[in-house]
Amino acid sequence: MMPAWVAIPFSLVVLLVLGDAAVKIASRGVPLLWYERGALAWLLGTGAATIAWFLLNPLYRWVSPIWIVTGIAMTLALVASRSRRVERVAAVGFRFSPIDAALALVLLIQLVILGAAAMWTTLGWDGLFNFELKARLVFEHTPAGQLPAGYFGDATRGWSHPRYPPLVPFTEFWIYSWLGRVDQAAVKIVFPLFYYSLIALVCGAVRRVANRRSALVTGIALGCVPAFTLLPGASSGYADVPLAASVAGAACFTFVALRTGELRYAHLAAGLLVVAVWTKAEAVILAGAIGLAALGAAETIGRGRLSALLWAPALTLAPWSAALEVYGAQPTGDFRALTFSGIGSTIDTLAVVSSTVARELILPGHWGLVWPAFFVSVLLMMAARRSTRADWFLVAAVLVPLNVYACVYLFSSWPDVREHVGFSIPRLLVPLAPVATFFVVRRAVDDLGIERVEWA
Amino acid sequence: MRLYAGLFARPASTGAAASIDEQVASLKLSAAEIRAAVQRAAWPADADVSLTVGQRDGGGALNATQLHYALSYLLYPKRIWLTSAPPATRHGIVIGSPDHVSHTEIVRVSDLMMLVKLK
Repeated sequence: MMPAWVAIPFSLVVLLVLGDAAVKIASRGVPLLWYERGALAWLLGTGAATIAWFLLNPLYRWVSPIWIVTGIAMTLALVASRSRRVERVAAVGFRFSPIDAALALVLLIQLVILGAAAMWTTLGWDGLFNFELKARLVFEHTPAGQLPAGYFGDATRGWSHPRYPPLVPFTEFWIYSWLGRVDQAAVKIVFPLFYYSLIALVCGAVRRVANRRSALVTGIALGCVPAFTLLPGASSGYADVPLAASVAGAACFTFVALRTGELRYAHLAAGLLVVAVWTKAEAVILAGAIGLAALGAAETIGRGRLSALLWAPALTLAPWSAALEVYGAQPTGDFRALTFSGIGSTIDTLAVVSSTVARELILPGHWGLVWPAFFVSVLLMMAARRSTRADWFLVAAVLVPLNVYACVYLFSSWPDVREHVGFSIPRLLVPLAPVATFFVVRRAVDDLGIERVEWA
Repeated sequence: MRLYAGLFARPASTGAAASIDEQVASLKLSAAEIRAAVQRAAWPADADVSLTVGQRDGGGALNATQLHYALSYLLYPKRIWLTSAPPATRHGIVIGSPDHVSHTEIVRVSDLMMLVKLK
């Protein structure tokens, strides 16, 4: 058994090596900022490793998954290093003004504190009973690495959401495999990395449309939103921040693709949507919304390439969905079946759902000015009649899922729908809020005429 | 500010099992102690187990859902039934007073937790 100080860095490096190879293959030479590349390596690495782990399950009778996945990572890295390289952004240097340096220091301190807080606190309710539980089952199963088939149909454990995609549990299992034991404190190291990826991708997107200062301020502002840091944020062990990182990255790269016509960015976005649908169930709605909004906003000529935003997540998730049906995975029981008679009885709840969602968007201490600023920015854009298709894509990427969620609640099986909405909507907003924030910054930059960088 | 306050606050439990220990802290037992006690009882690996959650001696309520999830987590692959145990269940975990549970044998794990053989 390796000591933790060797095993944990090694386990993370393997994922990053795999992810970096995936970035080289998916980016096809488009320019990336160094922190975007790091974030993409982490997200695509965890996503690729999760899919490889799942597809190769039958082999674990003979070979441990850590050796199989590590072998794949090294092979892919070798192949990618010979054939592909990532372009660096030449326009962005490391010379900082005193104000930018101070802002960078504040952001750095914020990231360090977040990391320390995540390591210091225990896993939240879902972090333990939904995600870490599966990691532990996989680790303790014989042979190690296989999710026990009996778990999926276990009626006494339906509360642990057996149908949830396995990216977060797999990432935790990966750490346990290298450590050689279950360690609920050590495993929390992965959650700040998802948070850093989120900040890096949103800051990178802002950097593409504005100056460095705007990007740094955006990163600091996101760190002041409790939903990203506390419950259900990066210190809790929930899957919402990992989902937010991949969804925000996908929306931002799709925006760049639509804005610049450089459709190779759409490949990165498609890769991130694949990661998203392996992270959390509602990502299917988010990926569908981003894909359809991109197709709607695109010029006819780009639609073929942008269709990858829809088919790539659907195709890669198909084996997992099939396995859930084969093993008779327990549904969560939070929603009723969709019937015509049911629709009639749910109309009354529309007002309850709408008011509860609206209240959450402006609740003090939850989201700060993110949502009021988003809606004001949309109204100002409409009033000014100065917008691009890419701007409307961002609006749709936020508003379409928000409305779908509201409709889904109409079929809630909870006795009190208001309680159901109040309990879950803050988490559903986590992946949408960074996209909304990017939209606000993008519109402010445009309206205020802040320096723009047109190198993307 | 809550994040920074949380950083300097002392967590309820520390160590490799800190998160699950926190969930069973109301039983005044660690997760490892509970697992060891059930292992000593030598119940079948995939046994159906009935869970009965009562009150503390002082009358304070225990969180039945929390204990159900925590024990399901700890005792996998045993199936822990909180509300409606299947008819064949012969094993039970009683939290609080065992007076309302028909049993033939009882093993006291702590003041609050007992393993029982059901009638």
